[in-house]
Amino acid sequence: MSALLEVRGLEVGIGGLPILRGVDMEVRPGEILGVVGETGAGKSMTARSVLDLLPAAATVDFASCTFAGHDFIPPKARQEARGHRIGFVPQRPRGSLNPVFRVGHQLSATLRRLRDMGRREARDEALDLLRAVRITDPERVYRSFPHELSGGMCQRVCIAIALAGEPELIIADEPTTGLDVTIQAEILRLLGDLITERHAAGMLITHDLGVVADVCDRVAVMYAGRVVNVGTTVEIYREALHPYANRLVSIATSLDSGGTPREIPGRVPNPGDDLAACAFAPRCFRAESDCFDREPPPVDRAGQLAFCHHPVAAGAVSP
Amino acid sequence: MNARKYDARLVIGLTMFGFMVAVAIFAPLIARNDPLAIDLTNQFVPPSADHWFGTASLGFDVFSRVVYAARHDLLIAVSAVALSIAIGHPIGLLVGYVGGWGDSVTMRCLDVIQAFPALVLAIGVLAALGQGVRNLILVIGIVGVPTFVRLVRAEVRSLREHAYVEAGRAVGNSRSKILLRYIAPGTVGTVVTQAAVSCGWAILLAAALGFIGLGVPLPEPEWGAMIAEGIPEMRRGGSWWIPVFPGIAIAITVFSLSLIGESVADLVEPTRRKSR
Repeated sequence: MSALLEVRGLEVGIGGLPILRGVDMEVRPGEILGVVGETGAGKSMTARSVLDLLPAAATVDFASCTFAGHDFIPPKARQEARGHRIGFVPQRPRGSLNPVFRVGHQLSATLRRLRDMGRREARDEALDLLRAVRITDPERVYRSFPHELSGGMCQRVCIAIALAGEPELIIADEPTTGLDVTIQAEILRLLGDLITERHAAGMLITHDLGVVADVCDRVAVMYAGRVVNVGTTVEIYREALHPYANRLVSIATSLDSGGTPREIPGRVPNPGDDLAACAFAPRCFRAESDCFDREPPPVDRAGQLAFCHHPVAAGAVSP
Repeated sequence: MNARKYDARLVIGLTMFGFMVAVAIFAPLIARNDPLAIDLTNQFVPPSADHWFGTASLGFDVFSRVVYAARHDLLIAVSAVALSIAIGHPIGLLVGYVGGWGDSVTMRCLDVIQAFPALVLAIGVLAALGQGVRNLILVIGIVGVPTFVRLVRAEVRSLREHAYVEAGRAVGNSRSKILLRYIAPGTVGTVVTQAAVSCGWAILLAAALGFIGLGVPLPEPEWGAMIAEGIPEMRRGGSWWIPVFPGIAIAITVFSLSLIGESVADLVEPTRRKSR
């Protein structure tokens, strides 16, 4: 199956420091790809590169980038896709709504611009969208200013705005940051449902591995500016090949089942640090000398792809 | 929150400012004496039934002069500041948002303008353009431009980093839309607040120019000039009424404008309403 969005060899640097070191990622039509990893792994940067929303100081270099068969390397192509073909659900929902206009106005203005709607038509469609994001009193929310709404409500509105242009792909960048824990899962499920209902695809960046399992079809695990392990959610959760991914999942699941939290020793490298050939090697429980000297080879097995010299073997239990 | 239909500050501000405007319009009906009439037998008379605000040197009736001066001062203050904003606000928006060399060149030009004391600059320009109320407005307006450019530029530079501006870009808004719909509204509050302050400042600059004979030509009444003239008299002979009444007139004008400004800013920036 050909990918909807295909990114190859994406390198991003800020001020000469490498942030992304060759990211390969693809989102297939109709699927939701979860992108997980610790802070600084480059999840947001990857998403932002696709929309050309990086800070001005950033340098971006793709080996290749296509979206629905179109070349996506020229910044112009990526800018034109904003809203129309790719919807973006931001972090910090309240800060992402224009504080000086009523929510309904922002939504209907987006509809009028993206879908050439008339005033009245846009208003009706806006109310429909607010209903679609499961807001029970759309009329009131329509007339509210962002500061009069809760964070969760603002995020629903942001999702409605992202849906306004009927995009083929929705990128959500940690959409639950700063929201109440109780509604985080709800928002993510809502997002997942809407993407599926509308036959779009999704890229969901999150820390919450529990929800990834719920919502995503495939998972890409990032570490230090690269995708180290990617595969179907089932496979990654059953047995991730990459020791890092494996460890992340086992931590998440042991937390879920009430076990004592364990940590991965060491820390995430900072941009500009000297990296071993495999960036995770210094923290890895399976690392041997070749991990430090030679680039880890791709390992392709049972629906997942990992970059590792010593992938977790089938049936082995991580210590 | 929507229960309150009107803003008390706006009502009071408009009432006060309306009062000053009415005074200016109906000056001939309100003033009981000719503001230019000279009465050498009644110099420096304290406020009395005949002369409500007393008299100044040459027997000028302070009340009549304060009333008539509203015509000049309101016109000068409001038009000059409107001119400053009309020029300064768009420039500030543009250079703040676009940045780059255009920004640097503009700001260095403003540095040059601001390097001159406002009064010296105004004297120079007035000397070139010639005297008169129209030129006075022009000069005070131009001298006030850099303030607004700097203010708006600084505001834009902080606003453009906000998450909602990025979110606006992410749904495909053009650069001009981002500037006009996302950034510009956020600058109105500071501009309006500054405008009220600038009006007072414009009156004072007009007074200073009047004092050296470049403003509203003497003996035409003008609040600032009256204060400038009255302060030495007050020091010498204790005739406090000469500077105090025009001072009160300036204070009422500036206060009413700042009330109006504050509430207009709140209408434009709804998030500010919550904070009070």
